[in-house]
Amino acid sequence: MSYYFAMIGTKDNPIYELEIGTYKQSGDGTPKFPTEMKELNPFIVHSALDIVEEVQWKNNQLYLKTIDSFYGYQVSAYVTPGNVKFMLLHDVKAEESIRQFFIEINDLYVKMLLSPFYNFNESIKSGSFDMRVRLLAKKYL
Amino acid sequence: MQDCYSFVVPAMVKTLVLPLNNIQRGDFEKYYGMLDRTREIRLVDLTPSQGLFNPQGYPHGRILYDHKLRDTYSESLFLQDLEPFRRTFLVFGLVKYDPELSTTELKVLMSSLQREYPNVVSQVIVIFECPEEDQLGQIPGVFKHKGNQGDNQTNMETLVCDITSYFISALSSYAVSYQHMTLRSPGEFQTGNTATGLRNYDTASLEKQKKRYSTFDVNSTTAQDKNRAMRAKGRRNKLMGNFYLLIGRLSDALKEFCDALIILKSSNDCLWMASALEGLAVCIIILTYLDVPFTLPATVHSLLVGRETSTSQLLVSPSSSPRTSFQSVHSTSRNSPSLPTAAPNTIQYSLATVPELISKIYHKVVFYYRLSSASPEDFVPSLVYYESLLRYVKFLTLMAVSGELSPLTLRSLVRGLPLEESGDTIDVNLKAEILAYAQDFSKPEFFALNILDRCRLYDNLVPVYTDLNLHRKRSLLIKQLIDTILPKSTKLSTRDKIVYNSEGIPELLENVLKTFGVDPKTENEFQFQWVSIQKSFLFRCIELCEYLDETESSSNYALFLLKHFRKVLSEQEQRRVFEVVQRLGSNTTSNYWDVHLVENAVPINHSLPSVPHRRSAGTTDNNPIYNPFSKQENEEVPILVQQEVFEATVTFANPYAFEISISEIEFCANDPEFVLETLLNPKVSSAGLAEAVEGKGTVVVKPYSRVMLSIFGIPKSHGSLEIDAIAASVAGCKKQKFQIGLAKVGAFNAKVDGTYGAFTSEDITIQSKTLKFEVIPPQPLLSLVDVTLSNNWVMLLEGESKYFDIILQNFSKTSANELVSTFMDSTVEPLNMALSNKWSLPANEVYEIEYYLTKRPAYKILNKDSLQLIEGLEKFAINMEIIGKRGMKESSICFEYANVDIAASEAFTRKLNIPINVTVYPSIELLGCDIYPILYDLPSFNELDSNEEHWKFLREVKDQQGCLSDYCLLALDVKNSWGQKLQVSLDYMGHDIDSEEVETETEWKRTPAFSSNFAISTGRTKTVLVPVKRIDFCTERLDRPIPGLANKQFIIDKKMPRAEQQFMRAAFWYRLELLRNLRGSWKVIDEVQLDEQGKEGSRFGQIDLRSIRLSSKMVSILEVEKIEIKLRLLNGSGDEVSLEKIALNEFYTVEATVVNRSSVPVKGMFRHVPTLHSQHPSVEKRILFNGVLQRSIGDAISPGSSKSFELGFVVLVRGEYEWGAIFDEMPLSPGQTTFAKGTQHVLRRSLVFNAN
Repeated sequence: MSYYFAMIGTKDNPIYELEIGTYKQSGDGTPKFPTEMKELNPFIVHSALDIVEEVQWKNNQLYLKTIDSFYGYQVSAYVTPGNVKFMLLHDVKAEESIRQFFIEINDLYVKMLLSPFYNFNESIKSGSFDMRVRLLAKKYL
Repeated sequence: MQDCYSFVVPAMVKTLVLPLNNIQRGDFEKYYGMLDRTREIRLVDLTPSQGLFNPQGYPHGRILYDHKLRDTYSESLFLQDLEPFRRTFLVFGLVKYDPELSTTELKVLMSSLQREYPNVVSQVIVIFECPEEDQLGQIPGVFKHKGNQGDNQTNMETLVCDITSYFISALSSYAVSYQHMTLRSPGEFQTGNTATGLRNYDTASLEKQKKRYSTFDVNSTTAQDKNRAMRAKGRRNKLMGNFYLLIGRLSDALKEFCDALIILKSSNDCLWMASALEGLAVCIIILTYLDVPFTLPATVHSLLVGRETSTSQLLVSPSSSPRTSFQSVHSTSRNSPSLPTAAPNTIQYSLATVPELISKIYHKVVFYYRLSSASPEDFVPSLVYYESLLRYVKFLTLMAVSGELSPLTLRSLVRGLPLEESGDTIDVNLKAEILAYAQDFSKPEFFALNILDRCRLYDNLVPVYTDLNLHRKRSLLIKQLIDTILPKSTKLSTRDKIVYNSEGIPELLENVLKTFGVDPKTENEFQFQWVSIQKSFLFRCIELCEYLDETESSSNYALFLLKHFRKVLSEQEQRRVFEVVQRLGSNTTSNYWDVHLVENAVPINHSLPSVPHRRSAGTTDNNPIYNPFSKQENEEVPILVQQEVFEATVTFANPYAFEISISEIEFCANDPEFVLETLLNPKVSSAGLAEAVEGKGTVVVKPYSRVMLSIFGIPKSHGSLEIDAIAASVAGCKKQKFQIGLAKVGAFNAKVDGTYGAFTSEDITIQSKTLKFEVIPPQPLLSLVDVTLSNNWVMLLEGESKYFDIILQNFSKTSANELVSTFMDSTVEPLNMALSNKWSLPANEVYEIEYYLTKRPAYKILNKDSLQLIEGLEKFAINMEIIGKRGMKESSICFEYANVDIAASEAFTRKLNIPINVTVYPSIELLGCDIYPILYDLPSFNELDSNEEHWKFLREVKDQQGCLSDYCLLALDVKNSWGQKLQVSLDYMGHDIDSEEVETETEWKRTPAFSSNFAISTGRTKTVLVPVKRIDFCTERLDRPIPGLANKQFIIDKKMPRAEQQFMRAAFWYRLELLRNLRGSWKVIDEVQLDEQGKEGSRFGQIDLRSIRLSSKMVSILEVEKIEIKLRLLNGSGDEVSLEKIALNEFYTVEATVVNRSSVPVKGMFRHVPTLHSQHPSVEKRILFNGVLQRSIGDAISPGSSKSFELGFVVLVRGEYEWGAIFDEMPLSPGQTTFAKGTQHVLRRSLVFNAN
């Protein structure tokens, strides 16, 4: 099971990207995307933004569940109140744990926004942020 | 040609149009156009025919033709049972009328057509432009178009009607042949993997299906047979329905489909049922288009509304509330307004409810297709499924774009006409429905389709996303399409050049790139969005365009990548892109990609000699008040000279992983009028002029490195020069200008790097550097050719002078009319240092230092007159004299020269500095000095050693009746510090008090009054006595302040006591006078050298006597007193008596005269002081006086006058006597002081006599 997680700013710019595998079922946390998928991942997530923009107006939830799929991979999305989109490409359906994951990521992201050294829409380069995201991925995905 | 994925494709008769009998292309295209315009044939226009498909059966119906030029569906032969509309029914052979065309020939053509397309229902030959009367006989299947008759199009329609009638009768027999055939599913034809199904779509349904099969297995075989028979019937019904639909007999088609549905449903034939449902939907749409009301059997209706609610959520029925206009259409349409609930058996639909119905039908279509995928034989082929899905998606999109299902929409749908967009926002629910269906196109099954089908589907899906404004989705599709098209290996492109119609592809790619946030056309700053996407897609674009030979686009993308994606490209990728650029030769027409090429440029000020300087032109600032707020222009603009080379170091940076070559480097002046020549490798002569220009060089910059280049330029005009860019041709690109040190500076003046940071564009300003110069008109340029000193070294003894020449040349064509020389040596600096704290120095010391600085230059120019004007290119010599000064170690001669234009407001001077190394050794040093008075004429004077020169001189003075007391003796201690014996000569000129000249050249020309010559051995010291006449300066002269040699303010010294100041001044003036009249010189006594080298070889020089310092005692000796006392000895008769002939006991008179030389009257006491030269100096009882020894002088002596007093005396005892006198000054009146109280004047020369 492999995951591709991207946080996308308001200008279609990724502010954070992560490819990670599961730790469950004796996984070692390394993503196992096929090579052609690896290149396609950002494209799929990018195209799913179209759907996010459609779907986000239809309900008042931040978590939009699975909104798109491509070649057996599914895309789940979460829209923050600041219109930053969290997109997760995954191959196994696990709605609840992904919801938890997104909520915790949002917490992290809000903390990041509080940092005076971070500007909105800037790419996140903080090492501790990365580490925490990985921990969350380990916990939930 | 119709859109091949139009929703009504199942109702269209496919035809193939072929050229026959060597028809010209132009003709064929014309005829094809005519044919294609008659796509729709009304059944009512057709001649009735017998058989299954009599058009009279449904006169409202239409036949829709889809004229194709290519037989596209021959590959899908196995699908033709399921979907008969895939088949090509008619083949048109288009022939132009030719008089030579015979009937037999036509028959041959016809038969060949039949042979070639045996599976086609009917083959037809149409002869165009057929004259009214022709010789051709009637052949079945050959139709003539009377071209020269009235309206072509009407003719054409009639012709097509005839053909259609012919076709229908043929189709009837064709359809009959199906009556007894068993219709098989495509899966049953399956051989290999030609038909891939929608396998494993839903494992749950598969299991369910298996269960069903198992139950069938358990059941009796009769049930199975019955089921099979039902299926066959249902399938046949469905097929007939398709034929009726094609032929336009819609009511029959509707009936057949409904029947088929009911039967197939009961026999669980999902695949055929789905296909029948699809046919039903098309049938309904065409009925609606024809505005014919229709009803559906309730059983069918219930089938559609069915129990399956699991997926019905997906298909939300279109929002109701139809417009009133539809209702009016509906009400006017036909008879009974029966509501669905009105009749239990049949349900009637209207325009408003049709979309909902279609949606329901399609919901079922998809459902049954998916269900069928589990079946081992009757599974749906992917192609069928996806094409059907695409048709529906396109239909929905059309609805979404137009806003509702209006007659207009229907017309465009059926006729394939473009639809005008309503401009309304697309209904969100409808969009969601479309997206839900479209998602199937990204399922793994889709990728199992063959490339051609996939491309076709992609091709038709792209406009859907375009219409729905889902650009990101569309971009992904196009990327997928490109990935599909692009060959996996590049061998194909090199093997043979296939000509593709790549029209519009660059535009398309550009459009997609814009979605990803890349716009290669804009010159503006590129904003990174999703770098990995952008990079990846750009690479794809390059590949595609290269494959399609779209060189321009391909190189555009490559250049864009190099320009903006340098930081995210790996080394390998960079090289790859660069290789693309070079291979396409695109660099030759485009600019170089990195605008930051020129990192820096620094003008080198000191690289070339003689940089001109602006001559300080006095006060430039007219405002006397200092304004601290006025901006000080500190920026020094370097000055260049027209026609002369300047140099700048330019740094080129190559941040790429490949080498770049830079050529044709040039400076670019801001002002295009300014002519500027750039040289890369000039031969610069010593004078700084470029002589020859080497060929334009090329510089190669290694990967990831910088190169600093010295670039030379020659300004060809004058004025202000601003170099703001450097032009160069880089990596084969065309020549372009690069700004210097281009940098983006953010809000806090911090440099912004080009990564995808979220800097807003307002915060960033772009800065670049400008090299500013001031170019002045051509100037003279002097250069040193030679100095006639060996190795520029000279050894001197102190005071020695030497002559040499400096040979210069003016390398410029401009003449120099001004030449100022400055001499510097190592002694100057310490003196200046001493001067700088002159407030602690007394005025006389300051004078002394200034004297050395100004009056004692180390060099002299001897031929000043010939240096008034130096012509251009002239070579000339300057005759120099160098004088050895103590402490001089190094020295330099600095010439400042210019061509001064009087009219010009400012002038520029150049400096030429010639360093000359000097060693100065001490020669004759003056160790000390003293002054001795000559008090009396010694009686033994004549007997003294007369060899001494000063005695000789004094004797001469005495012989000439001069007074010896007017002289004094200056004792000078001189030492020979040089290693050779030196001949010293000291000259005394004799006074010339009136001369105010301090020291001039002529001064030295005077013949000396006294001259002393002597030799001193090495290291010896000798005291020389020089008789010097005492100096009589008036008080005014002595009271003058000590002058300064530099023009500066005179400051009264308040610290020093007045008397001290007075003394200092007096001493200064006396010393000045003394030095003016004294001179000393030395010469090396070396006979051997003199003989061998002649006169020039011998060393000679001046002695520096300025170390003479006068103490107060020395001054008092040197000066002539202000109050002089003279004594004369008179005998009784009043005659002067010689002092040698004084006799005892005789009367003498001493006449004392007091002369007042001062400027004020004096009075006081006068005293005679006679003494005896013995152990008892008292003269009491030895001399008798006639009067008193001490007396007042009475009235004051006025200035310039004198007073005499006489005193008689008799010497009683023999002995040697000395008669002195003292005058004590008293105040003129109480309280008034002229001199200090108690000033005493002593008789300088007392009378000394021997009384015998």
